[in-house]
Amino acid sequence: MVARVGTGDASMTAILSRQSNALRAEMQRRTTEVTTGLQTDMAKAVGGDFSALAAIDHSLARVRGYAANTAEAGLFTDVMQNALEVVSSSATDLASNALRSVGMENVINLDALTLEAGRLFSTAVAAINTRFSERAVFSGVNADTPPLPDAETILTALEAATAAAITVEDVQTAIADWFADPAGYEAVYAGGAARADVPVGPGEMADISVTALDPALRDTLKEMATMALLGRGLMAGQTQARTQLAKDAGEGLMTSGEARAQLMARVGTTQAQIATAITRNTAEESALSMARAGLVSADPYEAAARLEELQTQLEALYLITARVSRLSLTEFIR
Amino acid sequence: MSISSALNSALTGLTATSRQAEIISSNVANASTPGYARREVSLGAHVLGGTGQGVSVRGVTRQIDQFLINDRRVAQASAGDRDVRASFLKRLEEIFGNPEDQASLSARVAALDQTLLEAASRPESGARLASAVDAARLLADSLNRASDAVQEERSRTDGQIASAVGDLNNALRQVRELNSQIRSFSGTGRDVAALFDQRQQIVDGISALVPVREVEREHGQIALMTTGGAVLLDGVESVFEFTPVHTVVPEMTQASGGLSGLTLNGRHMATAGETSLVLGGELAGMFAVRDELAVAGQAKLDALARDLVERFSDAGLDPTLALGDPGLFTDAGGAFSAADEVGLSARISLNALVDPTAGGETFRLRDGLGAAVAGPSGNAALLVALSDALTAARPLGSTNFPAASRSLHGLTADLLSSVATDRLNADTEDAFTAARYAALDELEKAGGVDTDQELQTLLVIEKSYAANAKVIQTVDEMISTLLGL
Repeated sequence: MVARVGTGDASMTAILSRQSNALRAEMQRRTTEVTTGLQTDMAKAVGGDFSALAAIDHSLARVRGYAANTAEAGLFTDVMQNALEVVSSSATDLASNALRSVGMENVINLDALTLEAGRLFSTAVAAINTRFSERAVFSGVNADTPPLPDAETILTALEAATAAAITVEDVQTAIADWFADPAGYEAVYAGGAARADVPVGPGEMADISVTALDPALRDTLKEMATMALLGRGLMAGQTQARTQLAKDAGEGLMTSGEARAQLMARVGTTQAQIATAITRNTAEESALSMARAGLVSADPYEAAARLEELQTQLEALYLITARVSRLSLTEFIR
Repeated sequence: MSISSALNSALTGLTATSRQAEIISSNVANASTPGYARREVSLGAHVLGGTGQGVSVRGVTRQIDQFLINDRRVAQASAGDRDVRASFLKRLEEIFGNPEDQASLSARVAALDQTLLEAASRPESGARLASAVDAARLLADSLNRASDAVQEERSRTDGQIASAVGDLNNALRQVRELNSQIRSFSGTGRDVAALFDQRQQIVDGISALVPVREVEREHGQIALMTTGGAVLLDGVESVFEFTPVHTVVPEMTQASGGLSGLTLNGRHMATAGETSLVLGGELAGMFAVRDELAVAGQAKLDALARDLVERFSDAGLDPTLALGDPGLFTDAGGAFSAADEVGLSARISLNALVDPTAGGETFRLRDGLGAAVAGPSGNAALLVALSDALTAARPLGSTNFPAASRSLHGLTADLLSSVATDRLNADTEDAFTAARYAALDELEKAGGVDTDQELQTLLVIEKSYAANAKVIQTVDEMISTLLGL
């Protein structure tokens, strides 16, 4: 018998099944890409180098962390600014009233002024004790406790400190000493050390360190307390001395107005910084998300077009398989 | 006597054609049997006393191309080798996880960073501290799980090597037995083609594990040796030995004696490197996975774990800690020493002092691990320092990965990139070897049974059978005529 060249049946089967396997695998890959919008083989999509993708993911995670920080720090400084506003307007009101009414050494005017001073002092202390989401804003790190006791406690302590004072100078020195003394004002201050700066952006820290120990607040409280003490019987009966004290306190409040404005400006700067950080972080987040999409997302148009093409190829292959299987001599020699 | 010799010749023709029909039916029946080689009947003119006396069947030949088979076997072995490696590297990449996946190492690192940052913004929030502690514990857990998964792969591969060695020994014994059957059967003149088929199939099985070269010996015998030169079978078979272990831990290697090597006839056989004679098949691939690739993967995890531990135990970071105390992450509860790097990722755990699930308190994340009682609730200094420690570029402590100053997430990304690059390269090689094997396999199958061709031959045979029968009928008539005279 003459040897003839044939093509083994198994070879045709192997070729057809290999081709259909390859086509179906590719089809599956493209289907996943169309439905998820993501590359199926991420390593291949980034050429085996994940450092760019991981850096973007990491920055995104950080930006999300910063978003929480800026939102909170923003509210925190807003609350702080409002409290300072209250303290400042109380002080300003009291100062102008004092300077207007003490000129004529009128007992009734003076009584009305000192009564108002007591009320405004309470308002200022309450404002300093403001809490925001269970955090006392001027307490520094001891956020659990309000920084100051109530106005009554402070005034009682001051009465004790001024009990022995006789002259106007004695009273002023005693009150000033109490506010400067670690055993006086600082002892009733229940807050802690200043808060650490809050990270609000890459390498950027927001300063939220203002506490009730700030000199501007201390001076303001000192002058307001002096006037409030007059309403509680300090130097009772000595109209001239009382007028002098009220006048000095009123002038003191006027003078410390600048320090209060500076303090408010300091908090305002932080507010502005936080607002800028929010804008920048939002911009960064969208830029990063877009960059990330560029790295990992599959082009849906390309994937869909390829899917269409694959369908045609697969249909053609099935057709060929069917035809080839019928193309057998067995079919024709029956 | 020419009439009876005509009858004889026609009879030999009938015998030959029926033998041919028999072989064709066997070919068609085995058209899709793997390893079946197409048979052909070789015919010759029968000569008796110097004159032609019909046709004789000289024998049945198996149509094989030994060179092609040898090539295909080597390609098959190397495809197996590359496939084993590529599958493992793919698995290793999955173990590291791509950043898209929330459970991946890099996503865990990012989560820890984010939660620390958020806790620094509100240190008095117990929930924020707890979520930072959770993120830290999850990161340690992911490292543990990744390390376990790598060791699980090694353990599984160890078991596969054992069964492969068993298969190899069985196959060699079967080839030896078939060799001796072929020798005795061909001595008695029986058809041994089926035995050849069976032997070829078994040798194909061997060549998936180690690349073999088949050398023909007399009387249809074969000897087998690896392409590296180790004699597997020549008259008698060689015996491989291997002892599997139950559990594999990172410290166990072939060099340390913790894992078994391979012996051939009682003598040690290297499983890697130039001195090895069994390279290039699935067996060598599995040894490479167990002893090299998985060990390198583990070393990468350990380098990451070490960096994590060292970052948070740097002196001065947490003022409440004494020198030598473990930091936020511990080596199985204790301080880490540089000599214990191997397997650290399996042992790394969150310091129990901050872990509520281990009886710790989350406030220690804010106030320092050494704090006895909760400090001022608004103190964010340590949290900010921890967050900075995570992102600061720090020289790598481990020597198992190229040195550079990296942040923790940068290191994680670099490790993942190196794993992914290895996998992509292995994929490329795998695709190449697989394509070569497929091409050779198709070539070999193309030389197999073609039913069309067999049926054509059958038509010819049918015709010649009819012709021979006609001759007999005619001779019969001639004899009858003679007898009727």
